[in-house]
Amino acid sequence: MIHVDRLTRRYGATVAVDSISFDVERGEVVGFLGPNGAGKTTTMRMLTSYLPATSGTAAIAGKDIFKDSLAVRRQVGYLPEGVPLYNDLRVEEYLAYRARIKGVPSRQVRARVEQVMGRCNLTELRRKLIGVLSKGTRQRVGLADALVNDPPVLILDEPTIGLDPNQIRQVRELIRDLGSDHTVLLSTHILPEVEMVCGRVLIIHRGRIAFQGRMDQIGHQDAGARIVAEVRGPEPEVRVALATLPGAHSIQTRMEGPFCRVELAVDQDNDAREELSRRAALNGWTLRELRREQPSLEEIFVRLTTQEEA
Amino acid sequence: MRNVTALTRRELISIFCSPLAYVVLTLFTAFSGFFFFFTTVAALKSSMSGTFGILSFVSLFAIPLITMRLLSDEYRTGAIELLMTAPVTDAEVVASKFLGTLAFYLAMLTPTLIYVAILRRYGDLDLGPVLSGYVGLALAGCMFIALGLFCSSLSQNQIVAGSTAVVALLLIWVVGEVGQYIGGEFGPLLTYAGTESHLAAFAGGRIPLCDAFYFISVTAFFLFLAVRALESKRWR
Repeated sequence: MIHVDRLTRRYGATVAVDSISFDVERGEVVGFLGPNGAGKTTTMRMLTSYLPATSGTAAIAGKDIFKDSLAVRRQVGYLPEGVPLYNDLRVEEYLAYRARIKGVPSRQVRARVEQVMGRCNLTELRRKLIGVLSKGTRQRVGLADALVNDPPVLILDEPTIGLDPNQIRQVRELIRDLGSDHTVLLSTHILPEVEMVCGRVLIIHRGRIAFQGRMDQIGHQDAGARIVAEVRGPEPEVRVALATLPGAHSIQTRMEGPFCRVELAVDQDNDAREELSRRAALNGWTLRELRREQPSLEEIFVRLTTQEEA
Repeated sequence: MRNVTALTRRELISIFCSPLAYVVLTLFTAFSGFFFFFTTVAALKSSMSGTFGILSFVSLFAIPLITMRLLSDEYRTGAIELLMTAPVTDAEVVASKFLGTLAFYLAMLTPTLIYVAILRRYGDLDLGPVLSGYVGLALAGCMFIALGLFCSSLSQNQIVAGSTAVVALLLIWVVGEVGQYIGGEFGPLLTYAGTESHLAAFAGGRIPLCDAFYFISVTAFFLFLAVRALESKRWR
């Protein structure tokens, strides 16, 4: 649905987006992550044909973003960063206006506006001037705007920013819902959100794609896993006994009351928990905790986006 | 066309919801009433020509007050992003802003019909020159709006857009006046470039096509520039 091929954008001498390529299939919800200034917004602006690319191409639903810009814009619902809306219109006026310029047939405008207001919980606020709305409500108006012509592709720049926890839940559910028959590319800084909503993730760092993969394969990256255990025993002996576990790279220990807390970095495909408990039993130490952790999205994100360039 | 209708409608809501529009309307009506009294009633003339001259001159200042926010405000608030990612062309955007303002301008001229009614009632008014005079005013208004819209497409600062438009309009006005004084080779050229001689040609009760062409072509020229300026925003 979205096909991006070596897309590049320069602002003068700075390269904001550096030859990125990726694909998003129909019915996928893809999280687009990256630190501030990594190039997320620039990429989204290029995909919505707001900004032209310096080089490279992209196509949405088979239409080239540059040559066939109007067709692309009809296919895409876009929620820009900061949600710039007209403050002097009422919610329903605004949505009806947007529906008309997005080509919703005149007879269906009312019905579509009703529908998206219902979906985004705006029905009670329909007569309010947009200028008096809170940030979270504006955000929902922006989302309703993106949905008003029921486009097959949604590009959402930080859709849950400024919402309260209940609204965040609603919006997430909405996006998950939409994901079944829409293609969604959304950027966010809230990593648990990506874990909840997205099927796949793209991490962009300094204008390049640093990582892309399915959410259920996140753990299988080269990051390795971790074993955490709490053993009732003296620290030096525990260290000696456990550091030699098969597949263990490094060990960290610390005393917590009578317990020694152990954190072991181990190979991805190695589960040394059984062996650990056997060794503890051999030494007569009791176990209070024993678990294996896959690296979280957050760890991957931090690792990919904080390392200095060689 | 459907897009233009929807966009123009939103433009009209915006104009008529802003307090500035009513300030401009009030001032325009007050000024025109004041000058109508002095140039026509007090001078015991039964003709609108003096009033038309004043109306067009006041429009030089009134129109930029309306046009200055047209695109500048879109840039400043960032709303331009939603506009330019919607399936509408830049030309449609410019056209609808032009049409919306033109509708407002015509609404601004409407109260002056009272003067026509007064002169009809109490004087001996020839309607021909009045009709052609209004056509001239409307055409001059188109040109002023187009220029103001172009100035607004250049800056995200309303004040800059507005004052640039006033200065440019005054300059075009003054050039014609200067032309009449210097004469010689360049005199007629400058007079032709200026606004006033063309407006004056509408006072006679006929529509002078040549002068209408002047207004229409200048309008088209500045609308074209405004579309280009809007397009160029994408490249920066």
